[in-house]
Parts: sequence; structure tokens; C-alpha cells
Amino acid sequence: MSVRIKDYPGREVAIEELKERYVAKEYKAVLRYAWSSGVAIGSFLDGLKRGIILGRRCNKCRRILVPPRMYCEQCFRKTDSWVRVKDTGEVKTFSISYVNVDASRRREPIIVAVVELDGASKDVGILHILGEVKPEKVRIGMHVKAVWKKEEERKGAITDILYFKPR
Amino acid sequence: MVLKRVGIVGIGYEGFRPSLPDISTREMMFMAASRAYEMASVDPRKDVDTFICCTEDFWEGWSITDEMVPDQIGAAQRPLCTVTSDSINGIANAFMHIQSGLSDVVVVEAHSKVADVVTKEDVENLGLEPLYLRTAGVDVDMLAALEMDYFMRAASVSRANLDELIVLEKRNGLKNQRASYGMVLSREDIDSSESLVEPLKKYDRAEYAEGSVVAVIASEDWIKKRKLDAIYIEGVGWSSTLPWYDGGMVEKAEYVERAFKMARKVAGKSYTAKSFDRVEVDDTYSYKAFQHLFALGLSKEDVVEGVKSGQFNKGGGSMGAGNMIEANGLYRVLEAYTSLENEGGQALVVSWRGQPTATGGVLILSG
Ligand SMILES: [Zn+2]
Repeated sequence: MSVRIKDYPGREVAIEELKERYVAKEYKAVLRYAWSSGVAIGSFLDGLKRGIILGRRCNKCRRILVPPRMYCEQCFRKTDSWVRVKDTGEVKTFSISYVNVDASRRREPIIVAVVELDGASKDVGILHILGEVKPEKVRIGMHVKAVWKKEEERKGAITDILYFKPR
Repeated sequence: MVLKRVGIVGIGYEGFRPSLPDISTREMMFMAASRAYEMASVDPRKDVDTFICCTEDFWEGWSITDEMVPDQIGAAQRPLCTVTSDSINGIANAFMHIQSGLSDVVVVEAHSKVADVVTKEDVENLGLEPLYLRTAGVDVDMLAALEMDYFMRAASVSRANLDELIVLEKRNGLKNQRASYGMVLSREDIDSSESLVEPLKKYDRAEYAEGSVVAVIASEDWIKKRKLDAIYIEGVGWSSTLPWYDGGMVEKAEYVERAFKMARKVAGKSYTAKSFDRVEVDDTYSYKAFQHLFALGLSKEDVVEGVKSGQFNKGGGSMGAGNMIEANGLYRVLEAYTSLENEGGQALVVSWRGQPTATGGVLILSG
């Protein structure tokens, strides 16, 4: 709306009204996928199941990539070796979210953060959530440590790490 | 103003298997790209001006896939766009990038990781008109069966004609080391095979395959400066026409007829389908190969004779190598490239985007 236009003429048609008064068809596509995780992410997820975090080293730019990749996107070459990095790190950036993935509201916020892991290269971080910390206490540069699921509950998924907590 | 000539200086691929469960889409693309760059002697981080990737989000199962494609083809922080269509359209875009002066070197990638799609039919059906086709329970195979039945009557093509083509192509596939679906097949095998939707049988439809193909395309000036060998793109054309079920042509594929006309105009030559040493034509459904070749002005005798003599789909086409969705066009270019590189001559590539579209592309190549 602007200074001159205070309202639009007419009115919006509600969904229910559309169904009752007009011809409408509903269709729901069932879209299901089973993505191949590949060598890099497959090994990374397998590592998580064993309670370790794996990265790949590029010998040319000397970066250690976490999550790992079989190729270095900067040098465009195959990465060279597997590296085990620590499950501790530093918060690079974070966000305090009051919405769920389906956009519904949350009473207690979820703290989403990018964690630069100890042993990985600068500016290489993994996206995860923070726990055991009040939102107002979170700071960039804060040192954190992974809190893992019990070994028997791990499935080879990023959620095998429950969250990162301050250390 | 004289437009620049455009050539293909390298082509690489990975996969061409029914399923590649051990590598991810990105790892597959990286290998195909690495091979193409090695062949073209280019460093993608320095030598390539623009990158084009042919992807469709519904096949990827990933929204805004274009943001996920640069790294594995060497395009991180470089100009890249995606083309949501068959890869002949991707090559057409590369051709225009070069002829307009935007780029000297363009990379085109297309792939299929279709075994990762659990509900393929649902993805295909999203292409159907939503009000009267999709909700009526029609699917793409029904549409193909209806078109096939209509086409066979309108163009006087018999079941025996189709069988002959399938048998020959499957056998050609067996001679092609990269084709996964080559086999020795008899007419009886086709006859006794599962009926999908009458008259469409299992062998009338190419099976799906996974793979990635990457082509490095460059201006003639650049190619000469680098002293490289190239397969030149003499002409390119594309077209979308009215689908047969909306009243479009059925006895021949009008989109191919128009795309061929456009490609000839770009080439500035009056080619006929018989001018080419090699024709790679869409055969994702058996009857479609006839429909596409009829659009080039050939008879049904020409079609079977052409397959027999090795002029058409010598490597087995999609019947032999599988349907690789958006990579089908680049797969056919790869087949043509291999042949031209070894034997020279001229090749024609004819591609189609699949049911329910009436969209196709044509490429004229010379060795
Ligand atoms: Zn590197």
C-alpha cells in the first residue's frame, strides 16, 4: 500500500470458498529419493557412527575439508588423504531461531551455528545446533564440544552428534 | 559480421551404468569433468569463461540445485548457469555464449542420477497437464502408448518395423563398451515381454541409466591458438511444438523438423538426413526413433536400413546405453564425437526431452 492507495479493490478468494464455489482439483505428488552418499559423505557418516569426525586434506592448498570431499573445489584436483579432526571447535556464526523447519513457532528457540572444528582449516565449518547454553550467552568465538548420542543409538547420521555445548 | 565458428575440444564421461550407488552425484560429475579437461588440456580454474549445467530440480530431489553444481566441475566462484532441459539446449546456450563474444571457452555438463529417485513416475507425471490429464490418472507411459498406437496407424509403421529396430539397437549396444543394456534379443523375446500399456511393451521403452557427460566447447580462434583438434558445431536448432494430445502432429515429430530447419539455417547449408555419416537420434521409445527420423524426411525403410548399416545409433542409442534424462543429448554427442574423431565426416544429433513434451534439439557436427 502507498500514500495514494489505501486498499485494493475487490477481495481475496479463500481456499475453502474456491473449493465450494469453483471447480478445483487437488493433486499430491509423492516425491521420494534415496541419494547415494558417495565416498566422501559415506565415510564421514560412517565415522560419526564410530564417534569420530573425518575430513579430507588437499596437499596443494593444504586445506582440510570437513565435511570431507573427494575433490578440492579451489584447486580442482582430487583430495589426498583422510584426516581425523577433533570434536571440539569454535562458533563462527550462529542464529537464534524461533521457527521450526515447517515454519511453525517455537517457544524455546533452537540455536543454529557453524562450528569450525579443531584440526580443520580456517573458514571450514559444519552446521549444527548448540545446547546446554542460554541464547543470550552465545558468542562468536565461543569454544564448544560435541555431545554424542550413546554408541548403540548412533545411525551414521549428522544427528549422531546431539549438539555442541560450551567447554 | 562473421560469427565465430565453435568446436568441441574435449568430452568426458563417468558411469553409464544402471545404478552407481558407490559414488555421489557430485563425485560422478567431478570424474566426468576431470576427463574432459584433461582431453581438452584446460584448467577449469583459469581457462574456462562460463559453465553451463543441465539439471532439473525434481530429478535431483533438491531445490535450487544450480547452487550445488559449481564446485565439482571447477566452477567455484566462476560464472555458471543451469539450463533446465536436455543437454542439446545446454550446448545451444554455449554456442551463443561464444558467438555473442561473451566467452571463448564454455563447459557444458549434464547427468542422470536417476536410480536415486525412488518415485520416478511421480516426477514424470508432474510434467503432465494438471487439470484434465494428471488428475484423470494418466501417466507418461499411457500417453506414450496412445501416441504409439496413433503414430503406427498414421505413419503405417508395423510392430515388425519396431521390433527390427529394437533388435538391431540392442545388438549395437553389445558392441559398445560403455552401454549397459546391450543384448542379443529376438522378435519372440519382444513379443513375449511384459506389456506396459498396450501396445507399449517393456522393450519399447529404454531403461534408465546413470552417468555424467562433460563437454568443453570453444571458439575457433582459441582452438587454433592452442593448436587443438576439434569437432566443429556447424549448426544447432531447437523447438517446442504443440504436443500430439493437444492437436499437434503425430506422424512425424514437428519439433525435430523445425529444429533441423533451424540448424541447417545456422549452418548455411542444405543438408538432408542422408548427408550424414552418422545420425544419433532419440530412441527412448522405439516408435519415437521412427517419428524423429521421419521428421528428417526419411522413410521407414531408410530407418531400418540406417540402423543396419551403422548410420543411425551405431552405439545402440538409448536402447543400448539407457535413458539418461537431461544427459541424453550429450550422450548422443559423445557417440557422434567418438565416431567423428576416428573416422571423420559429419554427424547429426537429434534429441527429445521425453514425455509429455514436444521439445527437441538438433546439432550438426563435423570432424
Ligand atoms: Zn586444494
